Amino acid sequence: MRRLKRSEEIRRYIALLLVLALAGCNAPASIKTPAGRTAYTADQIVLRVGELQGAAIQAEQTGGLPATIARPIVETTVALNKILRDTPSGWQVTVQHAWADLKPKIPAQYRDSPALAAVWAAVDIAILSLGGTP
Amino acid sequence: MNPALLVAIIQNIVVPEVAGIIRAHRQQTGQDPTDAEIIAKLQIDATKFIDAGEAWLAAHPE
Repeated sequence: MRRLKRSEEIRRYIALLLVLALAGCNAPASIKTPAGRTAYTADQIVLRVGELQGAAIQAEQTGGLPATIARPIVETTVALNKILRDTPSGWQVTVQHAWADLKPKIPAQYRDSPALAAVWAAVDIAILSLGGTP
Repeated sequence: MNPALLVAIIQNIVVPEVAGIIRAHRQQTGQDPTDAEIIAKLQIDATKFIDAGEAWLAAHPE
């Protein structure tokens, strides 16, 4: 019980820092068109998703994550990045649904593990704060 | 988890790579990146991660 509370505390701390960090990530003034701003936001999410994918692959390689758990994560990160790359506009709803679909497939013990907790929270916050409302 | 380690991890993760690239671009060219450059960067970044993910999936069949 104490461990769960500590884990929740850490996640909230990470989330707060991420919100503060992302708040300062507005597109530079030189990006003027809606397409450019959309691409900038999408790239922020692509980078966070890529970090989660890298962490999952590394954790699987070092024995910290079973391949059966890493697989749905990597399948989802590949799908998310394809959506973000190939859909210039209107990717928000699809990305949010794909991310929501992944969550119940990954047990909390792995989501909250040292290998994944921070990068998982980063994707969560990036999609929530940059993806808009479905 | 050690709080100092946690902060270090968070700082490394949350500091956006795009911001670093924009700074580097500004230093090199004296200008901020254009829309076309940001759109191209999105394509490059996404494709890089897609390729890495698909390679891992191919090496780890169900």
